[in-house]
Amino acid sequence: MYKLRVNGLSAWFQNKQVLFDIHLEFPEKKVIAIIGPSGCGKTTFLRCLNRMHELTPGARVEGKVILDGKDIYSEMDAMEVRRKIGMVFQKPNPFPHMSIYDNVVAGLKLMGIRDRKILDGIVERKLKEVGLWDEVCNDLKRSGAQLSGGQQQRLCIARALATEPEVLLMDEPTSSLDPASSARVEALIRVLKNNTTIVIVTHNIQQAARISDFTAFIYNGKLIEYGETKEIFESPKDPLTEKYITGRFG
Amino acid sequence: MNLRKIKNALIRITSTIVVVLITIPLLWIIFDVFIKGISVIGLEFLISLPAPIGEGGGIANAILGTLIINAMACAIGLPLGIATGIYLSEYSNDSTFSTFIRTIIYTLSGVPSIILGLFAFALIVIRIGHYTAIAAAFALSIIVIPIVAKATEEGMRAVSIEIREGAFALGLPKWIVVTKIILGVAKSSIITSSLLAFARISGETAPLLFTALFSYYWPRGINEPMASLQVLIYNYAMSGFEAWVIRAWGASLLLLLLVLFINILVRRISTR
Amino acid sequence: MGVSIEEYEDKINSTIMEMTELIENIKDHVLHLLRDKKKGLLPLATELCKVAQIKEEKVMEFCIEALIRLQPFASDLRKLTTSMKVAYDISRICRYLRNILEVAEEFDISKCDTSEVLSLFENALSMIISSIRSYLQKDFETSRNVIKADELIDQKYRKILRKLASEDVEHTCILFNGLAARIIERMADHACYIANETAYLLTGNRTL
Repeated sequence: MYKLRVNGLSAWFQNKQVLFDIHLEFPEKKVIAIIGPSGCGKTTFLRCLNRMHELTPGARVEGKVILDGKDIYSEMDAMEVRRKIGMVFQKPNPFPHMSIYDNVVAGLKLMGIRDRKILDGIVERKLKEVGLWDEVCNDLKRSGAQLSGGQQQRLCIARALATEPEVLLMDEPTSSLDPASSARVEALIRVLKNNTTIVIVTHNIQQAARISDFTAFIYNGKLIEYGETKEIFESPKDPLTEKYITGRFG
Repeated sequence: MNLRKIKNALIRITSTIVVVLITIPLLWIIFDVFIKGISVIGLEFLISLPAPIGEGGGIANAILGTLIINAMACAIGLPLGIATGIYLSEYSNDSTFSTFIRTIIYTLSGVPSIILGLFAFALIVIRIGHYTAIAAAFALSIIVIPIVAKATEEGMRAVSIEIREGAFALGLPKWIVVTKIILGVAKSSIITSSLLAFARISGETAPLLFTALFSYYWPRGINEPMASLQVLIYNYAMSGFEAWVIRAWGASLLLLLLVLFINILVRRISTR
Repeated sequence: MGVSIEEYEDKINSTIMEMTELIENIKDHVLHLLRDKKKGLLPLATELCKVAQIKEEKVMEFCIEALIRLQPFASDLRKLTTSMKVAYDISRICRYLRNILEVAEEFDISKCDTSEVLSLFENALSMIISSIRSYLQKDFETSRNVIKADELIDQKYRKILRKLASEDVEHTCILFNGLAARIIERMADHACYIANETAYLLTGNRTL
């Protein structure tokens, strides 16, 4: 059963095409890793999956991204898409003017949910889910910007999860974290997989091998190979994939 | 000792001397105003109306007048300035039109305040037929707008792309992202600039001379001539009567303290 | 990175080559036995087997070290997993060779006709040598031929067994020939495993 299907996706920045006719399916409740060299278009690809790409001036997309049978470009509103397909970024980006509490429920509070009881419950549940509750439960009023990098990233994951997205996109979520924090985030991804489909862009191929069920290799804006992670990392079919994951590129 | 070290020492010594030299007159002014003004400041000075020479009296109406005029100027200038800043930062898309607007707005901040006073005089005072605090507030608000607009635009532009995208990724519509996230992050720079604008207009005298003029009584309404510290200082200092001159010094000290207080407040906000 | 996969590959393969030399050595004793009924070679073969086992462990250590330090993927990963299995198979073949000598010690085989078993052994031997060569030289064709040859060995093995069952010769000879044939057939299987691993190393596919 496929949660998300990408059908002939191409993307441009001004006149420069950066993604070429990508076809791909994401099974439900799996972790899918997107790997590829810097500048190959993997982040752009991820941003096309929740319509973040179109926020960049001059950016353009063609093709379909189908979430549970509905095309997110023609049959859904961008805001609705982003609530259903959450995103975590490379650099932790908690809202600096908000407390930890407000950061977690920012998406809900700003959309008009004010019921204190509901919000309290969500804050506790989501912070527990990302393993941050025990560390911050006594100072939820503190600014989110005062946490450590790893804690900030988990806070951002909690914030993305608060709207109960069905798919979570992660753009190199551990690249700015130390090994211990990275390991915590990876462990968290394994837990989140139980009820979320996760698409993670990473330039750390060991990480892709550790945490993903499926791996897609993108090179020069084209999907070169997609398959089960074990297959891709043990016996890739395409010589380009082979070259990339054995570190013999260029 | 080599040449590099000599140059280094030379620059350190000259810059220290320059700093000391420019600090001396500044401290001198503050010290002088303090010494001359402190003697007159007392309860009566702060709470009573001006009285004829020799009968004491105070400057309470001018204190209140300055506060009212400033408040009105801010009530007009802050929303307009902030709105302008929001537009320039978030909605202008850096078009030629926005560049034009930006140039206009920022040129405003360079216009001598006496011209703004004349403009308000021509536009409002002449039409109404009498001096009025409204015209003063209008003139001063034109000083507030560019200060706040510039700070708002810069504060909002400084909000990183990561924070913006984080907000959009939550499925928030643009107007919420702009007003609740970006404006929220830029809040402290907007508050800071508002306070500085308040301090700045507290010192403006020329626009008031053409607009609110002066009054020896309590403010009776905003569409009336109104006393202000600035004009009071001007009037009393030029009067030649020693009792009034000393009151001018007292009023100057009050203004100085107000500006000093605001600057300390701004420092505390921006370093928080 | 202080070391490359190529350096590990060199070290591993030269160890595997040393193991191959041990096999060559022991197999001469087995040939001696089957051709000339010469006995008393067991202690020497036992020593050689021990050396082979130590070398197998050395290969495993290299592989594990390389896995930890390089965390390799794709063909680099397959190089290591394959060489671990190949080293195991070679060490296993060593022990099978020794087993034949061991079995011979139990019986008086001076009057037995071992010619059929000898022929089976020679076939298996050539499979083993080819399979190791295919691995070391990354030669896909040879590895396929080895896999094909296994069927022949099986047929020949079954033929020997049938013949032994119907022949009227001394029990000791039947026992020895039967056991030896069985061991040789197992050796050929390991040659096949090596060939299969080689095919996997080269193509990424398991042909089994």
